[in-house]
Amino acid sequence: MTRLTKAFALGTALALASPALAEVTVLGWPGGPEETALRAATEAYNARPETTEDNKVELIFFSREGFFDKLAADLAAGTTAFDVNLIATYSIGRYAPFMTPVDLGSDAAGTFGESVLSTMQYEGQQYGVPTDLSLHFMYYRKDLIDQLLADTAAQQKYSEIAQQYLGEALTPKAPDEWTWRDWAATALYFTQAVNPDSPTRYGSVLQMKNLLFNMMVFQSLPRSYGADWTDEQGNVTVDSEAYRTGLEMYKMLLDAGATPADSLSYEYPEANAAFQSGQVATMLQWNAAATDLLNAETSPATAAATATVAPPAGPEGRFTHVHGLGLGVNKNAENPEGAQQFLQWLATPAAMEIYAKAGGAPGLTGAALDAVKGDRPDLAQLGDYAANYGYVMRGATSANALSVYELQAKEFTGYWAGSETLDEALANTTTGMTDLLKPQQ
Amino acid sequence: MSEVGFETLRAPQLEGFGNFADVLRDEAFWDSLGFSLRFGTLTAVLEVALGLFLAVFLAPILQRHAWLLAILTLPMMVAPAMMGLMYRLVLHEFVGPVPHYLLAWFGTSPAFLAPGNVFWTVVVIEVLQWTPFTLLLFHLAYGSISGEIREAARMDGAKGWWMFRRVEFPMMLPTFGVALAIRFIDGVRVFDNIYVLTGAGAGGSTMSLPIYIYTSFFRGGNIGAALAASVLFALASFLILALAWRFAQRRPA
Amino acid sequence: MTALRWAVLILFAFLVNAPVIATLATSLKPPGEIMGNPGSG
Repeated sequence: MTRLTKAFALGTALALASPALAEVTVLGWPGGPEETALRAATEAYNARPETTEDNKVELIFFSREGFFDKLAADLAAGTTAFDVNLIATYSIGRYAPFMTPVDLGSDAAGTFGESVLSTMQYEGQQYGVPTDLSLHFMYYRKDLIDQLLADTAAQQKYSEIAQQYLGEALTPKAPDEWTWRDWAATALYFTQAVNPDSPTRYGSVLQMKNLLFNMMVFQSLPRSYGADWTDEQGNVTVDSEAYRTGLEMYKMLLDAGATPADSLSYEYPEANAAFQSGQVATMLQWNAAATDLLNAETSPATAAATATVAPPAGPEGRFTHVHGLGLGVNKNAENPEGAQQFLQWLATPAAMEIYAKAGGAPGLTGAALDAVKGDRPDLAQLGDYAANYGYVMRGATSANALSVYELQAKEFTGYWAGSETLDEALANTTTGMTDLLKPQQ
Repeated sequence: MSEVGFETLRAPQLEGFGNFADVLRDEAFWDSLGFSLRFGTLTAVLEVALGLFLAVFLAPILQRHAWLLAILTLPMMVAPAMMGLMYRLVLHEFVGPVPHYLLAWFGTSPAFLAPGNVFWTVVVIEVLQWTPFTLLLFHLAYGSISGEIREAARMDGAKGWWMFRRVEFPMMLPTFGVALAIRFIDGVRVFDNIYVLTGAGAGGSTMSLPIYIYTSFFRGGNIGAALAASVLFALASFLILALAWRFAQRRPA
Repeated sequence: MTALRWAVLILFAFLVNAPVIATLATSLKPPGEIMGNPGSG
């Protein structure tokens, strides 16, 4: 056992780009805008005259594949390979025992706002600087929707399709007024298998791979029908009308061909590639994709016609899953003071300005937001959605939260693939979640 | 449930055989075992059959141009995880060349990773990567049959199919057994390429035994059960290998 | 017969190396063209 964990620690050590000259080692989230932004901020930090030689920051990155698993193994083995490491809202409970709370100072609330700071809190303690927020946008093809809204014959066809698949003759609406049913009708309308005249092959692209992150994308739909993981007493409530409605809607769209037939193997990159091909009309996707999807160089076929809006609404309102990525201090850090210093600096408006302008997605308020709004208008949208529509399922920061997502991913995809019934899937999920969420002894 | 989690990794409590019982009761364990056995058997048989056929059929060419083997065995150099990644690209409906050309030429392309097709897709991927290995083994075995034996058999009137069946194949039998065993074990323990391509699959449809172990170890945080499954797996592999060796050592009289 | 052997050899070599070739070809294209690639016409 120890040998295995040592092997992981060793792997992490080997990931060091160069011998550790610096004295604060930071393990970041690899391969995305977060990495670019953290590199930029670190460079600025190391260049400050106040940063002493033995407190300079060195970054290490390993692969995203299995990141949190490896991190858990490393931390549990008491690694000293890094002083600061990435944490995420949904796994704080799992890592908190191996980390030291941080003191970001009283000004941090003015930079991030209380609700964003709380994405990095566990049992009342601050465990990290909230560097990035992740939530969902509904990406859609504005050109196609505008055309639909302007064309009466098309609206007739739309209503017929809605009547046939949803049992209700809905009429087209603007995306910011969509309910999930409006969205589903739109997705069906823009599907060639349903409507041979559709300009796109698929009305949507759903990420249905057996992967825990896909459950985060999915769950805003049942949430808007009132879904939660547990009730206030801690009883698992996943076998509910709300979850049934959401799961059935996804399956209906898959079976109708409104999303590629391979969708059960799709995750983030596959879905983006499908949307960028111009053959997909709508997509519920992470805000992180906006950088690429709205950029004419990376998405030449679609960027000019792509727009974003908050996810559709349900009877209980409009919701978006939200979680934060952040950086916190390893309990076994060799240089905890240096680590604290770096994180305190990172929580200042000046540092966040560098971070945001380099592509990061921090949730900022007040003066800190005003300073970057010009360059990053999407950060205003990000903060707005997080504050107004953001939610965290009850139990979703507990030590086993990731395992709950993992379980849901297996069972829900089993239902979508047709290898088990909805009743079986929900019964298995309930049993498993009850076990995973039972109070720790 | 196990008493070993990441939190108690360094101070676990002994559980006796409770973890083994948990694993044996877990339906997902049996499903993954079933997947692994089906996958291992099918890919081993296909790879050995194809490799044997190609080694013999292409022998006249390969013996003259041995450098061609380098091209044929190139896929063995690619890490299985990379192979999975490449197929994720190659099979993608919107960016992959395979669906692209199928659509262009035939107007339709199957959904390779849809529930009904995914098992065969991963089998074909595995067979394409590892048939070169069996080809190489059989090529060496075929080439090492001494010319004198062939000459003697030819004097007795043996040729073509009869020569292969009665003279050449029996001499390659040990290689046949070893190739089958190695590929079977490799197939049963398949992990990287499938994990990268489809993960555990919709509802666990492509969960091989190692993927089961991996997910219970990490995601489930259920280390005790994962280790119990690993031990069971190691024992079973040892048994298979031991049998294969006995088979290989039974040289033809 | 020799021609058939060569045909089989070339086909097999192509099939087993196809993902490598395809990935290589894709990696040489500019990002825009990769995303624009279609099957989608």
